[in-house]
Amino acid sequence: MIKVLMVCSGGMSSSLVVNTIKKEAEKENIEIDIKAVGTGEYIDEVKEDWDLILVAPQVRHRFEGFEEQAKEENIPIELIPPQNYNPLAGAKLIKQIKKYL
Amino acid sequence: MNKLFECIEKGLMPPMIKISEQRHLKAIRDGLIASMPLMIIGSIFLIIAFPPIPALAEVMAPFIENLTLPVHATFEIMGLIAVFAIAYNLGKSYNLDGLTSGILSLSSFILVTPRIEEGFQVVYMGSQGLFVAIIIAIVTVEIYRLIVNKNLIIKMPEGVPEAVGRAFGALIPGLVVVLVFWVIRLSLNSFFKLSIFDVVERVLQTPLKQLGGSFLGGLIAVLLIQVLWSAGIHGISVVASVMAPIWYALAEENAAAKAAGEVLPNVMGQQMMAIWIAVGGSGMVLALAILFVWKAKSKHVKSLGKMTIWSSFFNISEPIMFGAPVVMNPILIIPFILAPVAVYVITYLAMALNIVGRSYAVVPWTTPAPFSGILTTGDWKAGVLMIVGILISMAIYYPFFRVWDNQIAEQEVEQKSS
Repeated sequence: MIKVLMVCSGGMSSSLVVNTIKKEAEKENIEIDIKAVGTGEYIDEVKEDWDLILVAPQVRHRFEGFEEQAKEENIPIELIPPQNYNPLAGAKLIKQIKKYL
Repeated sequence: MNKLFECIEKGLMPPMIKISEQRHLKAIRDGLIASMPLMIIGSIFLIIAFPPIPALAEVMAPFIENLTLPVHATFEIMGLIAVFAIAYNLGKSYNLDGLTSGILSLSSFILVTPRIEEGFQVVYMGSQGLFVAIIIAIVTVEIYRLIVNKNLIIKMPEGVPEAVGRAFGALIPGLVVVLVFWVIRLSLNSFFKLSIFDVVERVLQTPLKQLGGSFLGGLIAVLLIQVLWSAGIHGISVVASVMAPIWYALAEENAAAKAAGEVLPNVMGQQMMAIWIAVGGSGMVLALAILFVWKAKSKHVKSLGKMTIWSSFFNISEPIMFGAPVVMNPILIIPFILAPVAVYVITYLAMALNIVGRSYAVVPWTTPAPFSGILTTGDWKAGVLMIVGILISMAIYYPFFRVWDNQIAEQEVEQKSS
């Protein structure tokens, strides 16, 4: 079981991508607990028990700030490549997560 | 084209990023977002009190006074909410106690508010006090931080309940803050016969509002949002880190005017940026999504269109922005910038010339068109205007979409044959 936190601007678009990831994970038999939040909720959410944080490309200008807090909590953090941030790229998204299984 | 993207990435982005990451601006933005649910609740009552259908409006007329009570308790305390919420966020960003930051600022805000016979001048609790609220929240938290850093707070021994420790911890910073604002209030009053609200309004609020609320101010904001999005950065959240106080203040003025039965003063405002120029998400992307589903020849674009059009109805554009992609796409970027500019100009003119009603209600940005337009303005004609905006955007997107879709279709054929 891997717990992933995904952060985008308002938590809306990432929840769409989260659905894509969940579907793909089911296909590949990967147990995943993934949650989408907006940038405003990040500071509180990061303190929870996550195995990985993924940052949506449209908020990559805030990546350094997110990274700082993730480091404090000892959670690996990665940017989602722009070309993978869409509902057609489920397999690529799962691949990015698989590294941390 | 690649040079242009490089220019955006290296020239425009770093300063923009600095701005949007700036601690105080971030606290202001997050603090203002906190009042969003209240504004939507107030808007529901505004919409019921002034329904878009004339016959229904007549039925509602006798109840307007009671129906607008929640408007006074939501829109019209925007400054009050802001002073607490901004200080709370700023305090937390410094690892200070958020609650203490909030209540100290609230107290300072009330302290500088002019008094009338039986209490405070409530008018300053709304957008008229918004800029004072921002200044007070920042100054209060900075004083608080200074005192904590100098270790001048009263510390309780371990084992004392947190709430008690907090109460004592707030004592000295609170006293200093109150003294500072007390002196400011008294000296402004006795030397110049002014309140801090008068000063801030003249020096800051009015010029900023005139700048940000003007046609040109809005146009520059639209262009910046689009250019940032072209490089794949969430443009509106960056631009809003500076502009949000102005946009929200303009929206509140309109809501208050509507509740009071007056003429709506502003064309620009939160709704123009969040709703009108962003049907389907920034860049009028719904128009592009419709073209994808309706006119695409390539499989990639057609299937992407079918998968993403639903999210586009709810103004979530990222699946298309990154899926097509529109981001960094030298062909699609051109209409992506032009379409919202065209819609902005048309919408601005239609509202300025009073052909359609101006926005006063705040609705969630996920409200689909044309309902978002009708609900924000209480005018069915606004729904027509919104549909016209989508059609114009489709016309602007079409030639570029055609060229790009053909390219993809050709690539697909090549891939198949090889």
